[in-house]
Amino acid sequence: MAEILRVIATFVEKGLVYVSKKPVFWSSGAQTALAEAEVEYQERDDQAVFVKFPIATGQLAGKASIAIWTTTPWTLPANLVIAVDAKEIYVVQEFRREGVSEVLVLADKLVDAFSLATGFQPTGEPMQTFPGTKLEGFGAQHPLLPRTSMILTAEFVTMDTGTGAVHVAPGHGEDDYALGSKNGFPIFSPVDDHGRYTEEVGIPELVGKYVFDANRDIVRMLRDREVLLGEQNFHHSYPYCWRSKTPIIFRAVDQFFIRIDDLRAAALDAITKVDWIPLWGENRIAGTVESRPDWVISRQRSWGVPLPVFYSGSGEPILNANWIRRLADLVAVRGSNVWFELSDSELARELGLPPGTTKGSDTIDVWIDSGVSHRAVCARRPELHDPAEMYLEATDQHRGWFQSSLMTSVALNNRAPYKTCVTHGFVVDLDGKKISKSSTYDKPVEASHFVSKHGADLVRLWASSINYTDDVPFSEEMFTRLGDTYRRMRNTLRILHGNLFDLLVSDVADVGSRSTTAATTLIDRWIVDRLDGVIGECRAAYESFEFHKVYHTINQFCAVDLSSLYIDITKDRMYCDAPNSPRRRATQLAMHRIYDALCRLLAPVLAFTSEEAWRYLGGNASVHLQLFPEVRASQRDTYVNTAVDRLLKLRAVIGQALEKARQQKLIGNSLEARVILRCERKLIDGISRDELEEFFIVGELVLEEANEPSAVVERTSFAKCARCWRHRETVGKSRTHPDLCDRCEDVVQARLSST
Amino acid sequence: MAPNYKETLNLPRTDFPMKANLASREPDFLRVWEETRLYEQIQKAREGAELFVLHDGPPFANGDVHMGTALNKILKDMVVKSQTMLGKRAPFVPGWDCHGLPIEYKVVKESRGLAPLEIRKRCEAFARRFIDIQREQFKRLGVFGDWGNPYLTMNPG
Repeated sequence: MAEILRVIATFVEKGLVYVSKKPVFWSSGAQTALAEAEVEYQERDDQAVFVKFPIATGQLAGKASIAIWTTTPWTLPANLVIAVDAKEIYVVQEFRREGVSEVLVLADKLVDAFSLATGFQPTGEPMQTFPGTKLEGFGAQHPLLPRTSMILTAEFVTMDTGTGAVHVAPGHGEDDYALGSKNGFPIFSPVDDHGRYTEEVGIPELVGKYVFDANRDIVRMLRDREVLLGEQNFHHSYPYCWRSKTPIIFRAVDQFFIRIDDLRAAALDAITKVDWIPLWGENRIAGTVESRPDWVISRQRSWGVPLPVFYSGSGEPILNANWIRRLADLVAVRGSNVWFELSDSELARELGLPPGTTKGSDTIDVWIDSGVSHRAVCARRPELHDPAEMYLEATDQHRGWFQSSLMTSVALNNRAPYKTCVTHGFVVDLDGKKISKSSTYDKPVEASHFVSKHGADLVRLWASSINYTDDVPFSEEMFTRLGDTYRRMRNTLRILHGNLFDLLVSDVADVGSRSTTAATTLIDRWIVDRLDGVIGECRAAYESFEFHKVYHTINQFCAVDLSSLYIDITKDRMYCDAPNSPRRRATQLAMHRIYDALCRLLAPVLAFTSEEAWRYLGGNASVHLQLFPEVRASQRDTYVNTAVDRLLKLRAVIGQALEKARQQKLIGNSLEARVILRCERKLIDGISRDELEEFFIVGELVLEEANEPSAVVERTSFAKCARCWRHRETVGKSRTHPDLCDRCEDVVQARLSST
Repeated sequence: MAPNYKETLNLPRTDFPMKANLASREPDFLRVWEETRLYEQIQKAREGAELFVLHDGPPFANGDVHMGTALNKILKDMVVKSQTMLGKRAPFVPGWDCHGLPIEYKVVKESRGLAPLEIRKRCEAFARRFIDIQREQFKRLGVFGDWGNPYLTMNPG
């Protein structure tokens, strides 16, 4: 908190802080000024009224009334001005309704709409027409109070609704305030903290009344005084206090501000030097910065950092950087309650202020608290630094924390507090509705509900699976699909690990950084190359924070390359070869490498499961202490890729023939098949028949030359090996083991002689 | 009788359980990580490495962690963990936004007419209660950080 005060001291020193009566978003429910971010919009119905102000001075005095329209009748007692457009054409026109005649001034373009809304019909031609500028400076009699309001021209007048003559109460609106203060009108706002009229309102029966309740009294008074031209129900979107859910009012009070105009250009410049993810974030925040008004930093609340404003004996507010720094030193030791615990005189004595100095009672907008964390936290904690590499929040923070932090950082350092700014969408249900704990949303939204049901790793897997730059869909049903993916990844890890049980650490160490051994077959070279591809893609995805690419890459690798192909194809050699057969060991080494790499690559996503799997590799250190695997080969192995791509196409051709043979009950499984494969010889050049039989998982392969690949399946005449279940030519040839193929006989023989 | 060849096969062997039982087993990992001070180990292991600071936008110390907040913290954690595994030093100092209307509103609604100092004491207690709750919920998600020493906007310093 002390640091927050020191930042305010710097702002004061730079002349950025000022005090002014100004209309602010005011919550009458919470009795405080609100930041823009604390305002939400709701649909509501209000009574809109057409009211006449008899023209009292100038050329039309006593001859006509100017007609205004407003949706906030309660602000009429604070009316001081009527605004018209300088260039638009206005008419002086007689209207009649049920025998009543009125001569009114209003915009030509809105005569028809006015007639339709009020029932007043124009009679005859306009008596006069002129541009609005001619009305400037005329006085008009206030309909409720003994004073005149002045007609002025203004740019905010539109010809969309109303009469083209706009009711202006400088104490109750942004545009109103600007026009009023420019022309020297008081910022009149006769409403108290609770949204009730004060005595200043000048109408005794309204004093103490809540303004939204007073609307109907005002309409009645207007009707009694015969100045009400018409009324209509008006449905519109109106700002509400996000906490108390009460409609907000614009109300002028003494507030402390940060002058944004002094920071705007530098902030816009700083924005261009940040990497925005996604890119449109840049336009979004630039738009907010361009349009944001001065920053109201005072809050009439207790729970916050005290706003370090002092008052002189005569009640003048004092902003003094040195005093604020002395206060900061005191707060650093005793906490900010000291501001509330000490009396005015005790605090003045403690800080060495002139006797008679008193303290204010406001607190600082919380958006300052978090908005200066780059200074209070990043710049001050030894393990961090400012600017940070990254801020990462939901998209609503373009107008919230990203912006508040940017403004304070520009004021302090003339640069943004972040190098990269990432936003993610809101979590929405399948109907696109934002899930939230504050609305009437009736499904579970607490993270703990899903963690205790599915585990944190599934919630993490969900977070990784979506492209977070859009809104993030979420539903209970999504966990079913995620569960399938999770089980696939877990089972892949489990099968790989199951095949490593007799691999010695020394075998792994021997092979070192080489990715292949002499016995490495095509399929091993291929999977190791695929792994290199996966490592490269995942590293790149992590570097660009695109976690969904990691999810899809690993999911695909597990489902297709590993489960459907590699693990399936190498099953025979893994289960049936001699334990230390070179090609089995070569495959084990590849599997070890894959298992190791998957644990590391999955660690940021499946933080728990990767750790669990990692422990089965036997090390003590956590997977989270490791580095990602590196891509080993400097280039992809184009030979194996082309070769395996060709084999996969042939495998598809064979697969169809096998399926047909199975349907015809010609064979039970593919190991019983004798496949005559016809294709161009060059497609399988340099690959042994043994390897091809393994790759296609068939009993017997016969190769014939042909231009177009095709396959014919017959039942093999070879006998089935009792051990590996493959149908091999060598089964039956041995005297000692007539039920085995030659490979299996060797294995069994070796076992017998070793025991 | 045919010899039993099944024993001669190198069938896969592993204790790696097929069923994950994540919800019940994850807390065991959390305990080990805490006992071995894994976050500190990681920071020490990357001492001197290039620094990558992801600065935590502080959530309000109010209410339970819902899926939106969980998504935010998990995305941050995936950045921090992956940057660490890319070789950088990526400390994560979680924060909480403690002051402000949401908390004061609840306190004041419960008992009106309190003096400012009393409101502040109750607000602080309220904030600390929810910081503890949220901290446990964030840790349970597997998010690594300096949970013992977070930044609170109400800290005196």
